[in-house]
Amino acid sequence: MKNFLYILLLAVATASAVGTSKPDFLKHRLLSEIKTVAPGQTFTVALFLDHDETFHTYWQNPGTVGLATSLEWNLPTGFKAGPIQWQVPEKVKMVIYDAHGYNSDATLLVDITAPETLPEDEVKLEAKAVWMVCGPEPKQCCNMGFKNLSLKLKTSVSTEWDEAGRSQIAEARRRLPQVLDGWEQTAKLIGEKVVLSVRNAKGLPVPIDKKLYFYSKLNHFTTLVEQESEVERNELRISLPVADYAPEKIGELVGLLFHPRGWPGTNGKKYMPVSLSLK
Amino acid sequence: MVWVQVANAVRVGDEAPEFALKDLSGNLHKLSDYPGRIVVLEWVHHACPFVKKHYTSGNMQALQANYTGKGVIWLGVQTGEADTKSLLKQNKNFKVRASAILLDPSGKAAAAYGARATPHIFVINPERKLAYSGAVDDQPTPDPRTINGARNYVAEALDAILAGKQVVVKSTRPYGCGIKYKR
Repeated sequence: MKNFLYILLLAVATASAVGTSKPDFLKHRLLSEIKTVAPGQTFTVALFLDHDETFHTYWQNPGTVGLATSLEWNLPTGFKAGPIQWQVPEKVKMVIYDAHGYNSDATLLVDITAPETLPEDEVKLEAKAVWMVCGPEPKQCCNMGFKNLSLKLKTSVSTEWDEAGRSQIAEARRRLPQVLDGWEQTAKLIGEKVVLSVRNAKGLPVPIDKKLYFYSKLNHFTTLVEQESEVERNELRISLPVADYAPEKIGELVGLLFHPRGWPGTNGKKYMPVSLSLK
Repeated sequence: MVWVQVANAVRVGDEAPEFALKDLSGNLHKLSDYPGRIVVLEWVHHACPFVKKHYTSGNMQALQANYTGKGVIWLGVQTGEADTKSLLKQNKNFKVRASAILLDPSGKAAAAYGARATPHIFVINPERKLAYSGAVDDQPTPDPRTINGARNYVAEALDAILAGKQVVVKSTRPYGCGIKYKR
């Protein structure tokens, strides 16, 4: 086929990437909202990934290509880590492939709960972070990041805030998905697509837009085929192409429906959480 | 758009597309050269950390040795530019046990099969139908420590076909380094 004149693996630049992080293509940091931890306290820490220009890392469901960032914790006795709280994703481009991730920076939040009994001096929180960072043409490269990160916190009966970390984490919380009330949602499987329909309970019209997009949290839909959307009598329908690697039975639809202009009646909120059973 | 062509590639259950690709010695290989045989196509690039996972651990070579010993034709495919001398050296260093390594400079074979990552594995049954497409295993990471205990989809598919049974997991998401197609 004439279109296929030249092919290059984007991994070429990563020949020495295993077990190293050179080149990084991003800056990274583990940060905390507190400087001192009190017994039984739940607090938030974050992995901050500041991508070099045009590079990106991936969301919890990267799509048909890519790899989600992960954190494997090694915590002092009695400490517990919650799951990563993912900020809302964007479309990213791994060379020619559409995927889900973060183009500028990502602050991935994790809640940590301390036990009722703490050591007298300090505690050390350790995590192994793994990410895949990729760039589009013309840089054409990906790299795996493997980093052993740690945070030391003094123990105390009261909390001392880390103001810089607290501010950054607060900003990141504003980028978490938020509840949108007043919307009716249904979904059904039609052939090889799942059709998601949403309608404003008050009948507000939904403008059509080419950038409407459903970010599925489950990797059941291909990101190599466009999602088609239409509006009829104030009901928006978006068709999600099922991936060939999806399970035979898709039992649920969970994710975020993105409207680039913001959902009507929501003060401009662009991401509508969706959680539906499929029958 | 290229991605549409990738998306429209062969699907599991369909007849596997013919290809005509040269190996590292310049010999031409076609799928039709292997009638009635099980054929594995393994998209590979040794610079990719996910490919290295399976080669530095010896996992891929063990699969190649095991199944070529049972009559399976195992063809590595490298799409894009390739340095033949370097590939020969890598194959020797890694003790690659594939039947042959094929070169796909134009990307035509990758497009026909919808290969989009390295590694991406395709298993073709003796009836020339695509029986499996996807990842080597269920551990989407470049960490070789995950190989022990991983569910190996390729071995499952090949064992099923060799035993005359249905392949249970026919398609999975390949994980690895993206293959670039240029218009």
